[in-house]
Amino acid sequence: MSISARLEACARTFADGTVGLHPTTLDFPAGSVTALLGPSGCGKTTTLRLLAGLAAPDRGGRVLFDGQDVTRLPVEKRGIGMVFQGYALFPNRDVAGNIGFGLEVRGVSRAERDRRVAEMLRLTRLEGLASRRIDQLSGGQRQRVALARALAPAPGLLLLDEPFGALDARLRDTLRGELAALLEALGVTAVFVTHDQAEAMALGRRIVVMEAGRVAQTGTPEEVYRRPSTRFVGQFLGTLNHLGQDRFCRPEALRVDPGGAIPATVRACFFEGGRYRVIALPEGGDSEITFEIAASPPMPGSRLRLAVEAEAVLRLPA
Amino acid sequence: MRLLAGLVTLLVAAFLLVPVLLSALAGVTANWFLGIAGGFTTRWIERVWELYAHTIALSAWIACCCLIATLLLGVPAAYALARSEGRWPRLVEELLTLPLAVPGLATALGLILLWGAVGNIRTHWGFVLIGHIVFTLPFMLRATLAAMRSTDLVTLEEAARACGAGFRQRFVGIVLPNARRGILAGSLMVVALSLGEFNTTLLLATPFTMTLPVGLADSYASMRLEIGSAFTLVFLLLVVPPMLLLQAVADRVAR
Ligand SMILES: Nc1ncnc2c1ncn2[C@@H]1O[C@H](COP(=O)(O)OP(=O)(O)OP(=O)(O)O)[C@@H](O)[C@H]1O
Ligand SMILES: [Mg+2]
Repeated sequence: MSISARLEACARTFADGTVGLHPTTLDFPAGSVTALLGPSGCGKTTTLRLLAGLAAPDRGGRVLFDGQDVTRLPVEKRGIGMVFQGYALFPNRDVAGNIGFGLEVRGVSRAERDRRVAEMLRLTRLEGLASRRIDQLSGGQRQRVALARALAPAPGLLLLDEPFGALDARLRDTLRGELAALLEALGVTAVFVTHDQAEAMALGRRIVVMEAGRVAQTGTPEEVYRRPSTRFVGQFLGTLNHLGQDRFCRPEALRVDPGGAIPATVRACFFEGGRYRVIALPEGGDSEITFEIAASPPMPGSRLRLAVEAEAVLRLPA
Repeated sequence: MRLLAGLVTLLVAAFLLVPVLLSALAGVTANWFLGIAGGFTTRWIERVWELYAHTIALSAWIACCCLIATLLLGVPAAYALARSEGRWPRLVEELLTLPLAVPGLATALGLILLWGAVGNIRTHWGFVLIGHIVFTLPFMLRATLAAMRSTDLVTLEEAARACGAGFRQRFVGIVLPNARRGILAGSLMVVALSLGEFNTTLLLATPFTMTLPVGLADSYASMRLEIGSAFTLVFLLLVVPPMLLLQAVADRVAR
């Protein structure tokens, strides 16, 4: 049911000359869940719209679904499901009307449609809201309606643009878990856009990190976190400590050790529930480093020595 | 404070309504210069009906045709404008307000220059209709366009396409329903403006293609004051109830 997708040398230049995406080749294997991660304006939405067919690549670029060239195929014929950045629910239709729209336009019979809509309502835990108006839903409910609407026609490719963008942190956590379970159960190829690295790592089996219209790195969450290919990627995925020259490390690579090689002065210490986050300034260094400890927080101003695991040191040229 | 506001509202209402009511009242007095003492009569109303019934029917017919034409022209044009971005569509939108400032007489002259030589169109009611369409189209267009802009129609349509909807399906299923408030507001305005249009129509109409307001002017100019007043009364009785009804229907649908 799920399909594989491929962007081949796809670039996108807008009418005003802005380059949204430089020539990019990306593969999305069937059944994979990929996160497009990057700061605002880096070209995530542009990439997603190329996949959807809402925008055409510049001359020379191709979009392939299951090896078939779909570059010229309009969105409505591509058989995709899409969740929009602001959900874009239809205000003139109730919840069931929104979810059933994709089935309606495909000419699915009334009975089959009702059955399928009921199934989607159950799957997204929206039972009892079938005849609610869109403007009477909470943010989380709207998000789920958008998801149900995209999934109802059983698309081979699901595209999600900042699916949790407008929601508060706690709700994001809950829905993120729900979405992960749902994607797992359906086995649909999914591509989702986010600028939140925690979300990308929690949901994506594969992360594509983007910077200024280019792919900076592609890999599993572990790979891009532990082995970033550039300083930008390393910094975007979490805290990156500068150890001098081209040497960097993650906070968890550092531990307090009386025989450690790095003498430092504690600047600040934050309790983060479960552990402490300590910020210290190495002697002779000019950039602060961050590490975490489980207990006995040091006082600001105190001196200590830190050791770093040699294999955890990252060499990232500027 | 509330008392004052109430009083002002009352005064404004009186300011607007008293002339109309007086005029209507004059239509049922036997002789306006004798006042109420002269007694009441329906004679003038009957006379108006005899003389001007055809203008009433023609006005209703032209308003209907005008509504259909502006819907068929204005809604697709608003849709095209709402979807396009850039300088030109903006300019077109700005230009659309212009006809409002151009005197109706000037519009009529332009139309006569442009169409006057086409067959014997000048004696056909279609000529008046053309004038009404030119005058009311911007209202339909702007009302519809405003509604389409406010619902972020472009994104809604993209969402419909992503759901698999072809052009006809998304236009009928998503675009029109979400612009219905604007379309209804525009329709009401078009009907009201067409029924009351005088400036352009005066020049375009012939004695046989006279609309109601032109008939009104004709009766004021060439008949007794009481007949003109009776015509006002007939006008109010014919126009106000349908407009109220339309408004009520529109409110219901828009909700
Ligand atoms: N229609 C357009 N015309 C001109 N430039 C555009 C257009 N749409 C996007 N851009 C530009 O292209 C670049 C990439 O935009 P895109 O929407 O893909 O970013 P994004 O990664 O999705 O950002 P965000 O996280 O803020 O949504 C940006 O610099 C943006 O300003
Ligand atoms: Mg975006």
